[in-house]
Amino acid sequence: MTLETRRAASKEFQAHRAGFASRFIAAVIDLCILALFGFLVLGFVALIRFLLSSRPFEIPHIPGWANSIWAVGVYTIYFTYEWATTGRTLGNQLAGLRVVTPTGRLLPAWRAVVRSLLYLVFPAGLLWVLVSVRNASVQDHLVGSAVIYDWYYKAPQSPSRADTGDPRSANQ
Amino acid sequence: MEGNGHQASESEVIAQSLVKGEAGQSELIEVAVVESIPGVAETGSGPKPGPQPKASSTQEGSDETLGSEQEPSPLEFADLVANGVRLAVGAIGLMLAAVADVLGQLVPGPEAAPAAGWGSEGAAGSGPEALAGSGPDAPAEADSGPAPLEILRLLPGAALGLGFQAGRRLAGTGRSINARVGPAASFVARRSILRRPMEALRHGLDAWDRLGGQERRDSERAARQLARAVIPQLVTAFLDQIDLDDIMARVDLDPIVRRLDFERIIKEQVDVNAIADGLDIGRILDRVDFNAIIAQRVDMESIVDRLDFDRIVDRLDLDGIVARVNVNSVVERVDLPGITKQVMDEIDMGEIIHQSTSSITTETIDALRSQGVNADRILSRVVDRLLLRKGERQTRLPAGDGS
Repeated sequence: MTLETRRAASKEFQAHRAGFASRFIAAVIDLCILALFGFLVLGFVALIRFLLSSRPFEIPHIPGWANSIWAVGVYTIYFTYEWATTGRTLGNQLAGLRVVTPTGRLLPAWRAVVRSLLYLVFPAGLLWVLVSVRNASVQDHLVGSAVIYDWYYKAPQSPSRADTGDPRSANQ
Repeated sequence: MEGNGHQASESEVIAQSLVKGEAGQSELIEVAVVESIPGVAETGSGPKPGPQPKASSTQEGSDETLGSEQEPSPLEFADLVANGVRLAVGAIGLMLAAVADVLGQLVPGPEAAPAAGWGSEGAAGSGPEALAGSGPDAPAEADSGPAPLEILRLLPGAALGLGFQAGRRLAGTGRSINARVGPAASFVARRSILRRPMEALRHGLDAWDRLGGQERRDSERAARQLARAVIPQLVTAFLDQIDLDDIMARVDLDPIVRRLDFERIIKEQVDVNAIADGLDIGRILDRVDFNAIIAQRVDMESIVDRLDFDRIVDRLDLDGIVARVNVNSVVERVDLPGITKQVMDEIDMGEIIHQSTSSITTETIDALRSQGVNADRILSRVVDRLLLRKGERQTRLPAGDGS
């Protein structure tokens, strides 16, 4: 398949709800990015400690609770910010996905926060995409969001009042 | 005997014609002048006094007879004497005419003009005509009174007339003597009594003849040597006195040039190859300003329009030319760093790299996304089939979503 025919075919399913494979790949990529970011931060902290102290270079050992808080905080901030501002994380960018409301608008900030926390609490909710007629996960049903194919960047529109009303109507 | 008799009779006819004055004076003078010239006298064979056709043809017959005769005859001697007298008289006449001419030029006056006119004609060799005309002119000039100079001017003609008359008389006397004494002399000459003295005389004359011939040849050789030595100097002196520029200015060369066939002269007489070999082409080319010629007189546009560059390029051995080019020296003379810097300044390499890399990345990501879409569809179909679900999933957002 040539580039032109592939682009012509891809235009057919733009703005359609994405399936499980694409969304899972995007989630894996995002998790890898967060893990890499965490290691980079630890490495940066270790370098600072190495430069400022006489101790040898070593990855700092963070307690479990601190590590959990750090991970949850970074995860929540990352997803909330990306979904609320552009509708897509780096994983969504590579996979050509965008998280929007059922009307195609950007998620409000609180929905983005709730959606990120729901994925943190119950990531298996993504499997519901396999059986959903509208390719919606559990979190999409709860929050009222949708993940669509959107390979061509479009200036995100501000969330409308109707989107903030009844999220469930979007997943019907 | 027959030869001598024939010769005697012919000589008599000539002598009689001379005595009777049948031959004009002008012819007599011509004979004298011709015999005085050695070359002409040698080509001629004896006296040719007879101006009339009959006498001339008769004389030719006597010449042949004389050419076959060995012994001299009294008649030849008589003719020789007559011719010698005419020659001497002619020379004296010329000298007198020259003297009169000089005197006429030295003494100016009304009489000088006719005297000069006579002298000039005499000096030109037309003495007999002057002599013939002096008779009628003399009475006319005598009317104005005789002068010593006129008398002097008449002396050459009178001397010539007197000399010629004396010559005629002497020739007539010789012939009459020959007519009377000749038979007796021939008779005596054939006798054996004179044979021995005649033989001795002939031997003596032969010796003298040989000596004379030898002396003549030596004289001729000396004359030729003198001529070779003198003539170049004379010619040089002559040329020094000539103003060739003045002469050439007077010559009208146009008709001469028009009559010349230059094409034939060049083809037959001119060795163009030798001329070309002698030319110093390099020196000529150094004096030629080709730049000025090309800039002012050459229409480069028309020349270029007529050139068939494709044909020229086809005939070129480009491989051979390239093989002869020292590429290394060319590269060494090229400012590659400067050129590279200039090129890099003109090209926005960052934009090119950005476009190329973004294009590659876009294609890669597009392929990845397409594969994800396909995987989504496959999984959906599998699950829908497991769930015995019929119909397509409703994946499209509601109309008017803006997507």
